[in-house]
Amino acid sequence: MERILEVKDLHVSFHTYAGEVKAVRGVNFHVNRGEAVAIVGESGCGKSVTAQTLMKLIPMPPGDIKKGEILFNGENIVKKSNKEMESIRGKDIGMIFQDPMTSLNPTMTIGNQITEGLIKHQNMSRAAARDRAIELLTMVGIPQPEKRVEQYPHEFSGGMRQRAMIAISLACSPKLLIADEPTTALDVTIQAQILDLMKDLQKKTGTSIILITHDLGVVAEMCDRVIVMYAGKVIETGTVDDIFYNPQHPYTKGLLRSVPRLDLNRDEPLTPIFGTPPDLLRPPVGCGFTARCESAMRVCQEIDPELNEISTTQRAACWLQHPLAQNHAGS
Amino acid sequence: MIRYLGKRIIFMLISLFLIVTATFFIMKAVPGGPFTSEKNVPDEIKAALEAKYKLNLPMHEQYLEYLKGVVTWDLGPSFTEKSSTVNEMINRGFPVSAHLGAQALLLAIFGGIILGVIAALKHNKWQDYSAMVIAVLGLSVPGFILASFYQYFFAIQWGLLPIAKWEGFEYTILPSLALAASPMAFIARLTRSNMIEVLGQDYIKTAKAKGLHTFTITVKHAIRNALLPVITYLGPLIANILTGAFVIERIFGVPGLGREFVLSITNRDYTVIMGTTVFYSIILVVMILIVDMAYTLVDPRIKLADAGKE
Amino acid sequence: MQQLTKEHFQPVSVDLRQAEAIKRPSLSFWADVWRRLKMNKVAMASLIFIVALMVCAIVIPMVSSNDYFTTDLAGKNKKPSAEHWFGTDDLGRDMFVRIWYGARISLEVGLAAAFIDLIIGVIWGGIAGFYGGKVDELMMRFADILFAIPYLLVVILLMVVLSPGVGTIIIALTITGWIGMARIVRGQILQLKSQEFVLAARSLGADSGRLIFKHLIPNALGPIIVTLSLTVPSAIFAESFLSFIGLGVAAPVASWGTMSSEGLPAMKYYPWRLMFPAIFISVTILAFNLFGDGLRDAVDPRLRK
Repeated sequence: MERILEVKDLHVSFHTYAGEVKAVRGVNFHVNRGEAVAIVGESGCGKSVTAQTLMKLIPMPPGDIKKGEILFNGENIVKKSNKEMESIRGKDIGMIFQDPMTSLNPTMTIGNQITEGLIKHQNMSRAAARDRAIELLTMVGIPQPEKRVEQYPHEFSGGMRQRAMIAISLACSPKLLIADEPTTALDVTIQAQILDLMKDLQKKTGTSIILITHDLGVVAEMCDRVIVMYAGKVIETGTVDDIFYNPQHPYTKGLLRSVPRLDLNRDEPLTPIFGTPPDLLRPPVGCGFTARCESAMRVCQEIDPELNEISTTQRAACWLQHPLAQNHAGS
Repeated sequence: MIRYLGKRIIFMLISLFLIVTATFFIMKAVPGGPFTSEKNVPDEIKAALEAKYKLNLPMHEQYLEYLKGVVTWDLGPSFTEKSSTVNEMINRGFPVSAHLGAQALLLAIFGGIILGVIAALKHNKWQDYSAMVIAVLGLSVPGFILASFYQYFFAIQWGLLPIAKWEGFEYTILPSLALAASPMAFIARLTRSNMIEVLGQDYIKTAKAKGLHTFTITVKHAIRNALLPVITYLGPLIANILTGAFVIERIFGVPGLGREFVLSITNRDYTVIMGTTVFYSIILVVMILIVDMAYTLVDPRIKLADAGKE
Repeated sequence: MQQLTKEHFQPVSVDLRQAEAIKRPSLSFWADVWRRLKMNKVAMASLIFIVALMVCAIVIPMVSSNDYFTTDLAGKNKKPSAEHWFGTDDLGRDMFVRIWYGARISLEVGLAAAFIDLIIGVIWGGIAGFYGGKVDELMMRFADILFAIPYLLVVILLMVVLSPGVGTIIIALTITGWIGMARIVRGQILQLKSQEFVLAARSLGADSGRLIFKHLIPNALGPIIVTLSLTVPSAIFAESFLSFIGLGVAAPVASWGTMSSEGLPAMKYYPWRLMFPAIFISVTILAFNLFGDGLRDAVDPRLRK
């Protein structure tokens, strides 16, 4: 399988007036051609920062890529200048944002927002770009595209706006699409439609997708592999089956346990994971999850575990995987 | 659209009517007539003058005469400048004031926008701070003080530019700068805060994610959205420039309508005061209406025709 | 890497409930505003200046041996000296003490106009906003029509007609000046009314009075106070403008505006007669503007850096 993206030991910090916030503290993962990979985690775990760093969208005065490599198509993105990035963004990598309401320019027609990228990256004429825009709107399932192409975002409904966003991001047929919580701001029924659309498009175009979300249901619907992040690090990766049926990290297990299920007794309380994530201004020395982990051990407080191989497809960063820990029947 | 326009025009007429009426009654409220200061006027001449100026009619008839005058645009003769009518004075002075005002407005708009955009792009850096210091000074130092300073330093002390009068392009520089200072500062601050807000919006991130040039993003996406609210302030801004011009014209000896107005106040020349007030009010109210209309045309989110089809 | 032993893998008890404890002390809204304001050096400096100005304006005329109207034609147009710190004007009057009398006028006008605007505006806007519907429409329509009349024109006209003096200036300024405040208050109340905390309070049994005083007004106070502090400099500007064109206070009363107007023609030979009042007007307005800005930043949490 060809690797289209490889992230190695990425460290991203923000220099704020209160100090340095270490948002991403050593992230490693890869995406193969044609796959859909999910990055899952709670708010503040660093998944959005990672995603935006892939396109170098983080403003670099407060933001800072301190270490690491991002290899896209063999080239290291970290080393690229903004000018060089301009020819990658929109063309080789596309991005969809969370809130379609605010992610579209309210004073520009949808058509213009689609053709902008086409005209720049593919040197199309206005007329050709407009035709392609109508094609794209049809592809994402927007009815009456010739009319819609001249309309403004406020004339679209929420679901339609997100479809338009997808059209914009796919306009130049990028090899990689990053979707940052694309359905979080939408109704559940619309969510399902958008996910179906994305699955469909992926099959048709063969684009690799990175799907950022905190919703495990969405992951199960769409993705081949899952990357679980916590407190700025990747703490578990695996195929969808690995993660859902054989989670190894206590955090992953906690996540799965906390999802409300239809087959649970109605009177049973939900099981959250108690506590809050650590303050990344002063990140903990050991494993970031220690303070909330039922199986915490002394070593967890002192040394941060690396990702261990559990199988060819699954890895977890947890001291419970260590041979010395196997004697305690780790939950 | 037509209905909205119609409504606005009606409001405009009501406001104008109120102003015109208020002006009339305020003037009439002043004790003594316009001739009381002129001593030793024989009674017959006084009576003749009063008849000429229709001051011997009962109040409501005077009011109707006055309204008639306004509607037919005959604002009567000046009391102190015996050979001129108010209309003549307006026709003489207004083009000069309009020139000054327009120059100042253009300066304020372009200067303010450029200053504001630069400050926003270099947020929290030295360009931002210095631009905002200039802006705050421009807003705080009253126009007439600034004008005095300009006159003192540029004209009197250093002799770089003419002290007063209006006889060529270089004569217009200092007055325009003085008049434009406060509006420019206001526009700069407004543009800056709008730009900063817009630059933090999600759609700017989307534009960046599309790989567009930084320049394109700034101009096509950011500035356009940041400027929209600025248009709504153009109305009050024009009002500011208009009233600010009174004093600037006086200081620089510019023969405009503002100077006439100030003189007429000092001389208590009531027809001129009333006529000029009415004239200014009409101009202002119309300008504000035009600006508001322009805004609704420029912002695609405002649809006046039918409430959006969906 | 150190050697790992079995010791390391002993379980550690973790108090999961403790993890939920709130780490930072909570501040009341106004304490937070004050804290933020204190951090703003420019705003604090302006505040100190304003307070100093007020103190001087009250005290100096009281203790000075000069007054603002005694003329001394022999000692006219004297440069600033030890005897007359700011020099004398063309009637021999001491400029220094006249500046402080002028300060009294500017401050009186500024503060009075702002407070009257506040009272009228809060009542008008509060009623319109709270009751909404037809009441709101009627009241704001009336305000809109009034607002369309150019502010300074009205002021000028009134001053032409009324006898000069501080009182009439204040009346002229507040006749249409309250509209801005009314709009802000109404806007705030309307916005707050529809927010969920009002619904929550109501569903917990709060009545109208409690709603207005404990919930709506405290939340609306922020923009109200900011508007108040920005009305002052605009009133001071208006007073000096009026006095400058001869419509403000009458001679021999000293106002910064009249002093500037008198100093203007003598600018070439006796520049201090214009400089001092001009500088005082500018710096005072500047200080109030900067303080108002600082207040606005402190009150609006979204502007947190």
